[in-house]
Formats: sequence, C-alpha cells, structure tokens
Amino acid sequence: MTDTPSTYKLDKLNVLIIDDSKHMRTLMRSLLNAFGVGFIQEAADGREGFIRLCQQGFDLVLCDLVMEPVDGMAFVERVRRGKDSPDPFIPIIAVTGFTEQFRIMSARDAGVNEVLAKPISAKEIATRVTAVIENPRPFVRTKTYFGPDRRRRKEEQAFYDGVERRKANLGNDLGLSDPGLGLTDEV
Amino acid sequence: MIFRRRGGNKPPVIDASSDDSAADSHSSSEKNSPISAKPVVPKRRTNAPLVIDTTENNSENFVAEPNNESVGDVSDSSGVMRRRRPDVMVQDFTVDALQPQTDKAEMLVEFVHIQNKLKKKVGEGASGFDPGVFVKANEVIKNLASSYIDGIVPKEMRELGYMFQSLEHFPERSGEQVSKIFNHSHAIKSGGGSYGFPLISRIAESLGKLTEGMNSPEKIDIMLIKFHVDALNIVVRKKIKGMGGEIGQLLIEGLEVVVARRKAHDPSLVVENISKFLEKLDSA
Repeated sequence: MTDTPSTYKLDKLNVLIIDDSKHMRTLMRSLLNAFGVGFIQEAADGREGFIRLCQQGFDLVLCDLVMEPVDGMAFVERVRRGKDSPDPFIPIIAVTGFTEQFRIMSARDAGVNEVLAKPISAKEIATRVTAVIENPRPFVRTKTYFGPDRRRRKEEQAFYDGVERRKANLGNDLGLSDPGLGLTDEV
Repeated sequence: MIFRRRGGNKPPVIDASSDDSAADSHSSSEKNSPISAKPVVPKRRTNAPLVIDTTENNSENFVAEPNNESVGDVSDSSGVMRRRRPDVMVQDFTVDALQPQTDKAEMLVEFVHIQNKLKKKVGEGASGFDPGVFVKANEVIKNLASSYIDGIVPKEMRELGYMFQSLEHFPERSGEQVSKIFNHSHAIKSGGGSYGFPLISRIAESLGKLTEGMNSPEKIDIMLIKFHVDALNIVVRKKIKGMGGEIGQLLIEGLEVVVARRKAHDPSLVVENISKFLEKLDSA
C-alpha cells in the first residue's frame, strides 16, 4: 500500500477568532471557511474570548492584540497563566496591525505561538497555521514566564551568528513569522 | 511517562477547600450540579504537576497532554453550533486572576512537551494546504472587497462626515465626537489592506493615531482631522487602489509626519504641503 501525499483536513478543527472589528472577524471566518475549517466561533474582545474558551474546547485561537475593553495581550496572559485557564497550552496566533518591535516582543512574552501581521491574506494565515501544526514549540516555565519556548530552534539558529543575530535579522521580516525573535537569549 | 490532565464533559465547581485534590476530584465534581450559587468556572488545569525536563531532549519520555475534549469538544464538521456551557462566569482581568510567579529558588526551567493534537486532527501524514483552497479564498476576498469598498466604507465615511461636522459646530461635545471619529477610523481601517486598498487603511490608521485619547481638540487638531477626512473622501470616492502612486505616498507620509509631530507637541508643524497633495490627488 503506497501513501499518497495528502493535504490538511481541517473539518474537525475548532477555531476561535477574537477581534473587535466585525469586518475583520468576517474576513477571517470566510478565509477559514474557504480552508475547510469545520467550526468557527467569534468573540469581540479578550474577555468574551476567554469566556468562549471556558465554555468550549478549541484547537486554535486567532487573536487581535489591540482591543477594548480587554485586549489580546491580557487574554493571552490569562490563558497561559490564569488560575482558571481551561487550556494553557492552546496554540494562539496573534493578529495585529501594529508591528513595532516592542509590540511583537510583548506578544511573544505574553505567550503567543505565532504573530500574523495585518493586512491578512489567505497565504499568510495558511503559513502561520502550518507553523503551529508542524512546529509546535515545547512549553517553558521559568520564574517570570510560562508559554511556548521563545527561542529559535537549533536548526533555525544555524543561519545566525553572534549575540545580535536576531537583531541583525530584524529588518528581514520583523520576526513576524516567528515570535521566538528577541534581542536576548532568554528562554 | 504520560499523564492526562482530566476527562469528562461537565464543568467542575471550584471548591477552594479541595484545591489540593483538584487533579483527582473530577469524577466527584461531575456529580455536582453545575448550577450553583457560586460562580461556576472551569477547574484550573495547571494544578497537575508539570514535567521538569531541563535536558530538553527527553521529549519522548515526557508528554503532557492538554485535554480539549473535556470542555465539550463534539466532532461535527458541519459548522452547526455545538454543545456549550452557558453558565460560565469569569473573574475580572486583574493580576489576581493570574497564577503567582513561582518563588522556588531552585527552579530554573521547566520544559513541558505537549502532544501535537493539532497535527493528529488535520491528518498525521498530511502536509500543507490543498492549493484549491487558495483559489476559493481569493474568491472570498474578492467578494468581501466589494462589500468593503461599496458598503462598509461609504457608510462609515458618511457617519465620519456627520461626526466631523458636529465637531466643528458643537465643540462643547468634542470629547464624545472625537471618540466616535476614532471608532469610525478603526472600522474603515480594518481590512483595507487585505482588499487592495492599503492607502485607505493607512489614512484611517493615521486618523486613529491622531484622535486616540484626544479629549479636548484644539483648532490645529480639528484642522488635522479635516485633512484626514478630506483625504479619505477623495480616496474612497475615486476607489484608489494600492498606495495611489507618488502623490498618494507623499500625502500619507505627510499626514503621518504631522500626526507624529502633533502628538509630540512639536512646534515645527508644517501643514501647507498636505493641502497641496490633497488637491493634486483630487485632480489626478
């Protein structure tokens, strides 16, 4: 029996979209529908998103970062470190229009798995979802952090040299495909 | 060593007195009615011990499996609303809701290798997306683009226009009006880039930055808001795609510079060029 190469079957996936813009939610939902994602729920801010997560199990969260009243950063932190978090390990892809370095690093430090920069496209969403599926990072707990390992893997590091390797690479893609990007070697 | 966090489908009732035995008390909490005078919140899963694996290479030996199924995961690919707990209440988003940082002096790093449930769900042997879905997705974007540029944006622009007129004529309510202008700019901004109208998004974003947190706009602020509203009117009316060529680029850069200077209370605010760019863009 030969294995035929197959593509992802997303019809069993439960995805939660958190964004304060109804139109962005519609866009993301439509794209995920086109991908064949079976079940999609929406929430308009971090609080509603957390309640949804408590009400029901999800496989993946797409979360905007800047929202009112509870923003995406607080949501991610609550999911990762909350006393009542229903699933601290759930993969979270941050979706943001603000790509300044400090914002990306804050998202990374809050515990997101991947960062997706707006404007979003089908290809970019697919790339991030693939990254989450294919390259799950081990989770790390240190005195000050709990979340996916923020460091690059060894094979990723092979392309870099020196303590400033990440900073040197910053201009290439703003680290948007990899929240492991950071200026320090902290775990 | 494999451990599971918990099973079952019912929401557990948090009981502070039995917190230590929470990891094993699920079956008993299942018998409790989820309808309780106390707020019903899901049990913390992080009570379960974490695997200490400082070598990072023992992933096969240490697997912690987060158990999504326990909170109502019903296999159904039809998109129909699934079973949910209607009665979940959560604490406010304060520091108290978070677990305290550990103060174990001896603890350096804990690694938790979780099972790749996602991969299992999408197909162990599968790799990548079917190219056909991108054709479908592009079709979706095309349809949404027309509802954006012919529906959402004109509607938001009308309301933005009313709000700006109101700001000019009733300055005593300026705080409320500016906050509405901020909201409209946020709505206009969303999605523009995805649909091929990045200039609309950039101008709306600049307007958002200008009006964010603005309580009592001064004359100069009202003038800057007007520049943005005029710019958006032109770009939306002409349905300018992309960045609007050289003039569009100069206009947005000019707007972003004046907003940055205004926000920094920089007195060297030069706005003459903006009017020029607006005229050129309008007549182009």
